[in-house]
Amino acid sequence: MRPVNRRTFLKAAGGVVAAGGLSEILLSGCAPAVNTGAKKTLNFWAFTDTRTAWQKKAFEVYKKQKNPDFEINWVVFPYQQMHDKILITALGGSGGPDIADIEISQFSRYIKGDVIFADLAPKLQQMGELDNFYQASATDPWSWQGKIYGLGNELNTCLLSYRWDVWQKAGVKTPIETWDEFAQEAIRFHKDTGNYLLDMPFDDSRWWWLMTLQQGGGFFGPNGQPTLNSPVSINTLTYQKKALTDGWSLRTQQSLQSYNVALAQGQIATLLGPSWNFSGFVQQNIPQTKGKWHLQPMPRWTADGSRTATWGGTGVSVLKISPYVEEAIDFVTFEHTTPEALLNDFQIRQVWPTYKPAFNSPLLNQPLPFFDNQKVGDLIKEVSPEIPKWYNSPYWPETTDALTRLGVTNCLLNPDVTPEQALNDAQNQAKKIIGFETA
Amino acid sequence: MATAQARIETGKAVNRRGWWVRNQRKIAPYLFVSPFYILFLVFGIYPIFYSLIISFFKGFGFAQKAFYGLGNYLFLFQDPRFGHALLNTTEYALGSLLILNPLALICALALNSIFVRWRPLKDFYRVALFLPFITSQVVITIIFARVFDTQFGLLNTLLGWFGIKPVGWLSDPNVVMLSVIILGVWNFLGGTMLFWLAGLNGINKDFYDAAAIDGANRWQSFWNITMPLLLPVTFFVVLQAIIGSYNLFAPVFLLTSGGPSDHSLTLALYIYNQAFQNFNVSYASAIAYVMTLFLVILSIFNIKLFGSWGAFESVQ
Repeated sequence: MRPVNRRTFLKAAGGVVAAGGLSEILLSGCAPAVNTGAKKTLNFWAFTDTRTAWQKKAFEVYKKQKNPDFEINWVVFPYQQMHDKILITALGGSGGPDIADIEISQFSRYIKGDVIFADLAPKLQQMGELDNFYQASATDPWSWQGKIYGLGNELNTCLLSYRWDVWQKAGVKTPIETWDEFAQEAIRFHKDTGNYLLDMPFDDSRWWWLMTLQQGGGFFGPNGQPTLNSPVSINTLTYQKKALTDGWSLRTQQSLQSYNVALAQGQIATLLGPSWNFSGFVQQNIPQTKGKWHLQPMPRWTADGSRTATWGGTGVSVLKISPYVEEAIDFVTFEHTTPEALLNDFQIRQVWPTYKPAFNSPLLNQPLPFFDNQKVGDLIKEVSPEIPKWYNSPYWPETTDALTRLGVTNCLLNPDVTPEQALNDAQNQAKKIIGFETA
Repeated sequence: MATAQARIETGKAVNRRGWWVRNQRKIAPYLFVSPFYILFLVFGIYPIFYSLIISFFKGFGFAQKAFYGLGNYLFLFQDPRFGHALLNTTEYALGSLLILNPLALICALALNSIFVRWRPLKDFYRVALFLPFITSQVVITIIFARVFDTQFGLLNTLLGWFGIKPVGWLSDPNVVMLSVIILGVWNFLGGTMLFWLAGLNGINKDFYDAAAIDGANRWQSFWNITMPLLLPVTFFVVLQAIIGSYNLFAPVFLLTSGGPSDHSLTLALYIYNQAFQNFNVSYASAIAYVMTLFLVILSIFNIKLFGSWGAFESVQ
C-alpha cells in the first residue's frame, strides 16, 4: 500500500471536490432546481412563527377542500432581514419566495419602482368577495393606484381600552362619547388622583395617526402625496398639545418598560389601539391586569364622526416572479375568505378577521376573561364599518419619519412650537425629500 | 508512427507535469491565500467601488438608476439632517477623546501603580472593567434603556435620593447625546484601558530609576517620561476613538432611533435609514463617502500632529 503523503492527500481531496462540483453541474441540468419531486413546492416567507401557525392550519384546510398539486415550504426570517431579502431577490429575479408576509410599514418600499407583487384584485372580483372585507384593514394598506397587492386577515379596528377598576374608583363616566368629554373627565381624574387618563407619546405618531384617521385624515391623499398639515391633522396635534399644557396628560416613550409599569399601576389608565395592542401586547407585558380592562369605542370628534380607526397589520402578498403565481393567489385568497381557516387565527392569537362572513361564528363573540368577560367581538363588529378609508404611498418612511421628528416630537416637546408650525415643517420636509428622490 | 505519436503525447504530459513540478512551489502560496482574497474582492472591494459608482446615480434601490452627477453630494450639503448627524457624531467623538480616553488612562495608571500591591485586587478590577467591552452592545443598550428611563430609571432614582429632579436622559434634546456618551464610556472603558496598560508596561523602568536619581518627583516623571513614551499608544487610542465614534450605530439605533427630533442621529444611523428604510441607496453611498473622506482627513491630521510630537520615533 502506498503511503499517504501531503501531495497524494491533496490530490485525492482535490479530485473529490472537483468530481463533486462537476457532478453537481451536470446533474443540475437534469431537473428544475426547486421542484424535484412530483409535487410543486411553493416557498412562503414570514417573520413570525405565530403568523405561520394559523396559515399552516389554513393550508391543511385548503388541502382537504381543494387537493392541490403543490406543497408549501414555510420559512421564518427575522423581521428586517426577511423584508430586505424579498426586495433583493425580487430585483435579482431569483431565490425569493412565492408568497410572503409583508408588514404594513414595509409595503411602501416595494411599490417605489416596478411593483414586485401580483395584483389580487381580479381574482377577488371574480370570486365576488371584495365587498365582504373590511377593506380599511384587509386591502387598503396593500393597495396602490387601484391595484391590490396583498391581503390582511387582521381586523385592526381600534378601540379605547381602559382600566375599569381605576376608572370606577375615580368615578369616571363610561362610555365617554366625545374627545371633549374625555378631556373634561381626564382633567378631573388627574386632579383627584394625580394620575393620567391617557398619555401622549412624543417619540412616535401612533396616537396622532389614530385620532387623525378618525377624522378622515391620514398620512397621504389619494395621489400618495403627504397631507401632514391638513386641518384635521392640525386639529389632532392641537388637542394633544393642549392635553399636555392643561396638565391632564403625560409625555411618554411607549417603547420603554416604564410605560407598562405605569399601565400596570394605573398611573396611565387608558390605551388606544387594535386587538394586537389591547389583547396582544397588554396580555403579554402585564398579564397581572387580567380582568381589569374594558373596551369601548373611541370617542368621536364630531356628533356623526367615526368611533374607530385602523392601525398596523400584516398582509400576504404573491410575488410576480414566482413560477406559480396562480396557485399562490388561489391559496392566499382562499385562506382569507374561508371562515374555518380564519377562525384558527382567533384561537391562536385572538385576531378578529377582516372577512365579514366569519363574524357569524359565535366563537368571535364569546366573553373574554381578560376583558372582564366583555363580548369584544360584538363591539368590534359594531364599529368596524366606521373605519375611514385611507391611502398608502411609496413614501411612507420619509413621510412618517418627518411627521414624528418635526411634527409630533417637535411640537409636544417644545412649548414654543405651535401644531400648525410643526406640521407645516413636517409637510415641507417630507415633500422636499420626496422631490429629491423623484427629481 | 503510432509509437512516435504516443511518445509525443507522453512528452506533452511529462512537460505539463514538469511545468507544475517546476512552478508549484511558486504558485502554491498564492493558491492557499487566494480564498481570502477572492472573498475580499467580492464582498469587500467590489461593494466599496460599486457604492462609489452609485453615489453618482439616482434611483430606487439598486435598480432603475439614472446618472445624477454630483447631485447627491450637492443635496447632502443642503440637508439639515446630515448637518445634525455630523454634529452629533462629532459630539460623541469629543466625548470619547476628552472623557473616555483620559478616564481609561487614569484607570490604567491606577492598576499599574506600585501603590496597589495586592495582585488579586488588580486582577479583579482589570476583569471587571474589561467585561463591558466584551459584552454585546445590544445587551448593554437594553440595560441602559432601563437605567436612563425618566420615570422609573435607576439613574433618576439615584438622583432622586439627593433631591435632584428627574432628567429626561433619552427625551431631553440637550441631554440625549450625553446619555449616549455615558453608555459609550461604560462600554469601552475596559478596552481602552488595556491599550494604555500595554503602553505603560512597555516603558523601561530604568527611565524612572534614572529620573528618581536625578531628583524628579512622580508628577515630573509622569509628564516627562510616561506621557512622551506613551505617544505612539496615544496616537493609536485617539485614532481608534475617532474612527469608532464616527461609526456609532447600535446604541442610538436601539436606544433612541436618532431622536428626539434628530438630536441623537449619527452618521452611521442616517446612512442606514437612507439605505434600508427609504431605500435611497445612492444618497446613502454619497453620505458614506463624505464620511470616509472626513475620517481620512482627520486621520492625516492626527498622523501629522503626532508625527510633529515625535510619536513615531523609536525610543531605546
